[in-house]
Order: sequence, then structure tokens, then C-alpha cells
Amino acid sequence: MTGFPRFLSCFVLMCTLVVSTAANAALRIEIKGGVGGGQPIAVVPFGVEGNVPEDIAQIVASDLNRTGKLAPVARENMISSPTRSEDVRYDNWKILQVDYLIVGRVQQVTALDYQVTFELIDVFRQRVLTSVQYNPRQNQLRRAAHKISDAVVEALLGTTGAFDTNLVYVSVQGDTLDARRFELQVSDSDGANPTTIVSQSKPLMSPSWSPDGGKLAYVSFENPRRSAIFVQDRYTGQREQLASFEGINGAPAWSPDGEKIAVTLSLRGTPDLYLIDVGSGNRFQLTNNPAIETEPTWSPDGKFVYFTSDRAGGPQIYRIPADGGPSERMTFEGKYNASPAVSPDGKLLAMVHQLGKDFRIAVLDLESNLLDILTRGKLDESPSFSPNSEMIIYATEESGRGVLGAVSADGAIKLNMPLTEGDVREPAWSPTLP
Amino acid sequence: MGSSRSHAVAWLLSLVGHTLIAVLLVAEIGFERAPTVVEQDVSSPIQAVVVNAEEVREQIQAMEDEEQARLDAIEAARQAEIDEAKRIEAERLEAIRLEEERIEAERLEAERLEAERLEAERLEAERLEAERLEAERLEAERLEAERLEAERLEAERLEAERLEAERLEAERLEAERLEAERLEAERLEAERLEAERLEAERLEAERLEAERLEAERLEAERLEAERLEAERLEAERLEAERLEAERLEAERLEAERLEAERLEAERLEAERLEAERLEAERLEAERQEALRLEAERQEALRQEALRLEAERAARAAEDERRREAAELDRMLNRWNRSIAQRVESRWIDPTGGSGEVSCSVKARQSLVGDILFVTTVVCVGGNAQLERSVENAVLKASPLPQAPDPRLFDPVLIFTFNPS
Repeated sequence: MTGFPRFLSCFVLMCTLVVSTAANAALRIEIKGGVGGGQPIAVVPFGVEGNVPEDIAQIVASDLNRTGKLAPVARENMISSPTRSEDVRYDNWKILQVDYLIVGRVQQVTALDYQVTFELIDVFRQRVLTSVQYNPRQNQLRRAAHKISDAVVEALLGTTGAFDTNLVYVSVQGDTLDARRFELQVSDSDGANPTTIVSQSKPLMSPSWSPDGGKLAYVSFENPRRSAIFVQDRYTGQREQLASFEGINGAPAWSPDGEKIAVTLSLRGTPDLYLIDVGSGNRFQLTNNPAIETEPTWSPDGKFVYFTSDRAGGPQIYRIPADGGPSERMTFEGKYNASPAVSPDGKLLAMVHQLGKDFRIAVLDLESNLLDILTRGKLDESPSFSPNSEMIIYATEESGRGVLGAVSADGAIKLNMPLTEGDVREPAWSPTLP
Repeated sequence: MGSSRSHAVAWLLSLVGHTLIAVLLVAEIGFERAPTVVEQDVSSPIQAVVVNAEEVREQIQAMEDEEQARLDAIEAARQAEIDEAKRIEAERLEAIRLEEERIEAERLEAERLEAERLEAERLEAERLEAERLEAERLEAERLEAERLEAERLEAERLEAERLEAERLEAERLEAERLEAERLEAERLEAERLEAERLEAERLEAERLEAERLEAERLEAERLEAERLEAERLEAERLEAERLEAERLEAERLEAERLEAERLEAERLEAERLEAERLEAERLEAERQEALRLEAERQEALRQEALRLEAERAARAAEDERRREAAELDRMLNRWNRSIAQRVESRWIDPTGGSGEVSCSVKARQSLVGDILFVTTVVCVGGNAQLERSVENAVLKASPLPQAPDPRLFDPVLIFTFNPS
């Protein structure tokens, strides 16, 4: 036992003694441990009025299940299906040993307008903890469900949810080289609702979100002889070419203030990092090294750019002040560390770390400098943090096919994302959406 | 008005015309349709009106043309009236607009004049104000100059007065000094004469004193001789008295010593008798004490025997009580453990047993083990989620196993969540 918990125990014992003196006598019972799993929660099917194409409760239950900290109970075990707190018979839920209850209603107001109301109820205290109403359009019903999930996570787990967010990734369709199509797809955070925003026969790479989630920067090989970096509005599809120089045009990464994009260019032979001003198109050379410098990513305060460089032999992660200056090596464990991603809270640095022959997702605690290997795959790559810094999405292989995996930043929860067919690569988690 | 009257005339004329046409038409149709009518009703007699159809048509045409011309004239007149009305309205609006423009112009002119007047007034006021200020400033300067001149004259006057006063004071002081010197010379002369007189008196007095002292010295020598003779006689008398007293004292001391020896002998005898008596008493007391101690020892032995017996009985009772307490303790432990297990199986530790938490929860139970109330006392290393989880674990464990012995029941329970 370390010193800290012992101190805690003494403190609690003292408090308990004080209490027991006040309470005269009391039976003292020591609880040495609990059971694992999530807190049981029942997401009761929502009451429906009109034509409602989505099962809101099912989406919410599925979201909550993915937290690993809440355990939605099966629908068939529910004794009743109240849709508002006044109708809840608490004894029914106490028998099920359910801690929390979500009830709600979806109402079709007009052809395309809906009203979604939910209440989060504490069963044992018989109290409504949260109650919110949303007014989504028909195509926003799933989003309303994810917003409910975020509200529940915030109320019960005390953390910001990230269900109402998007993923972008590159999907390669078609088996033969001739039939191959590269698609840039945007989906909900649970992988549902995939929407193709770019589709072409030439390769697409490295999508990156603008900090407001409204635009995407990516690399396309659609032009003959030269790659190019494009900036595209995700809603209108309108796009502009940001860079297309001789040689490499790669790895765009949007600065947190949205004004600059860090890119890899090879204007002087070897790849170096440059910052391009989105408004003016002016560029500024950030690194100047005969080694390969690539995969830039920003610290959340915008003060540093983290990147991969092989200047020490193998690829390692470095960082450099965003306004130039000497760079600093960040990783020392292992001979291969690449694809950096800094968590939005600035505490963790995720990367691809080679362990033996396998490439896995690892996080470096930037305060303690301890490295924690999170995944067990053979070829895990492209880590990207959820906006609440709790989860990391990454690309992995499953029976020879590229799929998306998600892992919690502490490694406790691992999920595979149920996505469409095709070979899926290079996911990027969107920021919090407005 | 004119147009409504011409309308009425036109209406009357058209009525007459139409009636006429109707009559003619009836006649004409009857004429033309005669064969059919005859076929339909041959029995009824036909009253024939002989007219020239062509002429009638011409007449009608002429009337219709006339009517049309008249209607056109009326329409033209109406249109002219409308145009006139429109023109009048336009003129009226133009007049109003012009009037408004004129009024506006007048208003603007008035405003301009007013503004000019106000500006002129303002300028005049400013000029007057400036003049007034200048006059005030000049007046103030003049007053200031006068004031300074008056002050200067006053100062000069005061200075002259001060100098005159100083001169008078100097003269007065000089006169006083001369007077004082004169008075001092007179005083010194008087003092010198007085001193001479006093010296003569002092010499006479000294001479008389010397004579008086000589007479006193001779008298003193005579008195001393008399005193010495008297002292010698007194000393001789005192020595005789001292010798007599010493003799009497020696006699008294001898008598006292003999008396003391007698008293001492008597005291020693008395003491010896007392000692003998005390020894006898002591021996008696010792014998009595020995008897008492023996009795006490016998009593103590009896008491000890009683005490040992009581202790044996108490030990037996204590053993019984301990056995019972141990049994209760075992029951309490079993009950406590069964409560703990019930809660443990329902506690979902949100930290996953990381061990760095320690919470204390207070609960109140009913006699049959229903949890009535739960509150977290302290929760270190956790958050609201952890607090809810430990409280819910206790709530979910309700009803708790009942106390196996009513003596063990305690309504207040303190759960310490301390995952190891």
C-alpha cells in the first residue's frame, strides 16, 4: 500500500470516529471491494407520435454502452415503458437494480420537424436529474439522440460527452486496381450516417478538421504529376487548392485558431514543415533539416507544432515553437514513434509506437513522461483524440481489411467501430460541433 | 350634378327607344315567323299590321346611331369631366405642394432669419460681454493701482512715525541716564560718610569687649578650683558605700545555694517513683495488644476464606458471561459480514478498484433491515459519481439481513468503502 491511500484511510477513519461519537453507537461495516462493469441504466423506448424513423432510445443506449462506465439494461427485461417521470413506478426499477432511468418522447410536429424530450431519473432518490427538449429536423434525429447521450454522460460521469461529433476517414472501395475508388467520408461519432464528400479514382489522404468543424483539409492526387492540398467546406462542397508545389504536398494540420495550416513540403529537396496562412496563402518555413520532417500537429494552445522526424536515425516525435526556434525531442522509448496527436486538454501525446514487430497506439503523459501502450493490434495507426480527450480513434486491421478502432485514453475501454464496407484509413475525430 | 341629369334623360330616351324597338321587332318577327305560327295554331285569328320593314329598320338604325352618338357624347363628356377632375386634383395637389414649399421656404427663411438674428444677438451679447469684461478688467486695474498707492503712502507715514518715536525714545533714555549718574554720585558720597562713622563706632565697641572678656576669664578660674575640691570629697564617700554592699551580697548567695541542693534531691526521688509506675502500665498494655492481634488474625483468616469462595463464584459467572459475549460477538461478525457481502455484491466501483478511494457512508435501518436513509459522510479521492455509487450500493442492498439477536440491532450503520 502506498503512503497516499494509507493517509486517506486514516483520514476517513478519523472522520468516521467523529461521526460515531456523535451517533452514540453505530454498526461499522467495511466494504472491501465492489463488482466491475458499468452503472446499470435503463433507456426506456421513447414514446412516439407521428412518423419517427429513428429509435432514439436505441441510439442513446448504444452510445452509453460505449462509455464502459454505464451499462444499459436489455429492453426485454423492462417491466414497464413509461415515457415521462410522472408515470414511473419506481419499485419496478428497483427490482431490476437499475440506478438510473431515461424516459422520453418524440413527436412529429410537421412533416420534417420533431420535438424530442427526455428526462434522466435517479431511481433510488426518485428524482429527475436532467430534463431537456430538442427540436430537430428529421435528418437531425440521430444528432438529438447523441446530444441526449452527451447530456447524460455529463450528468452521471461528470465529464463532457463527445457523442454529438463526427469522424472523417478515407475509405477505399473496390477490389481491383481499375475499380478502386477513394472516398472521403464523414460519419457520426458512432460510425452511423456515413456521407461521402469526395469520391475519385486517385488516392486521397490525411483529412484534417478546421477547429470549427466546418471545413476539411486533405491531400489529393487527382492532378497529374503533382499532389495537392485542398480545403473544402464540408456542407457546401466548395473547395480551394491550398498548395500544389513540386514534390511532396502532405499532412495538413489546422492551427487551433484556424488561421494557419501546417503542411509538409519538399521545396528544398527533403520534406520540411511549413505554415501556410489560410487567408493570404503566405507560407513560412518552420523546420530546415536534411532529415525527413513530417506529420505536423498542433498543441491545443497553438504554441507548439509536434512532428515526426528521422533526424536521429529512426522516426521520433519532436516539437518546435510555432513561431520558429530550436526543436525538442519528445519520445525516447523505443526506436519507432510517429503520427503524433496531442489531446485537446494538452495532457497526453498519442502516437504509433513500435513494440517488437507490431505497431500500436501509445500515449505519453506529458507531465510524468510515462508511456502507456493502449492497443494490441499488429498495425494500428493514425490516432486522433475525441474533443473531450477521453477516447482515441485509430485505424487498425481486421482480417486483412482496414477498420476503425476506438480506445479510451486510459486503455480501459476498447471498441471496434461498426462501419461500412471498404478499406478504412486515417480517421480524424471532429472538434465539438456548434 | 349635370352629369346625373343627363344620365336620367339618356335613360328615358333609351327606354322609349327600346320599347319602340320591341314593338317593331314583335311585329317583324310575327311577320317573318307567320308561316310557322300559322302551322302551329291555325285556328286563332291573325291581326296583321302592315309596315314597311326596310323603313322601320332604317328608322331603328337611325335611332340607334343617334343613340350611339349621344352615348359617345355622354362618354366623352364623362371622360372630359374625369380628366377635368384629375386636372383639378393635380392642380390642387400642385397648389398644396407649392403652398407647402412656400411654407417650408418661409419656415426655412424664418429659421434662417431667426438663426441670423440669434447669431447677431449672440455676437452682440458676446461683444457687450467682452466690453463689460474689458471695463471690469480696467476698473479692477485702476482700483488695484489706487490700492497699491494708498498702501505705499500709508507705509511711508508709518515709517516716519516710527522714526520720530525712535528719536523721542533716544532722547528720553539719554536724560534718564544723566539723571541716574547724578543720583549714583550722590549715593556714593553718602555711603562713604556713613562708612567712616561706622568704623569709629566699631573700634570703640572692640575696646569695651576686650575689657569684658578679661573680667569673665578671672571669674571662671575661681569657679573651677571650687568644683575640683567638691568632686574629691564625693569620690571618697562612694568607695565606702561600695565595699559594704559587696559583703551583703556574698552572704545572700550562700543561703540560696543550700536551698537549691535540697530541692534537687526531692525532685529526683519523685521521678524515680513515676518511672516505676509507667513501666508497670506498659507491661499491661503489651499483654492486651497481643490478645487483640490474635483475635484480628483469626477474623482475617475467616474473611479470606469467604473472599476466596466469592471469587470462585464470580469467576464462574464471568466465564459464563464471556461465553455468552463471545457467542454474541460471533453472531455480530457473521451478521456484519453478511451485510457487507450484500452491499459488496451491489457496489459497482466506478474507479474499477483502483484503490485510491476511501468513502464513509452513514445509513439508518428499520428493525426489519429496510434502509430508511443514506448519506455520504466523507469521500476522499472520488467525485459525485463515486458518492452516488456507494450510496446506491447501500440502497440496493435493502432490506439488509435481520439482526440474529435483538441485542445486536443498531439502527445506525456506518459503511466504510475501502477497496484494497
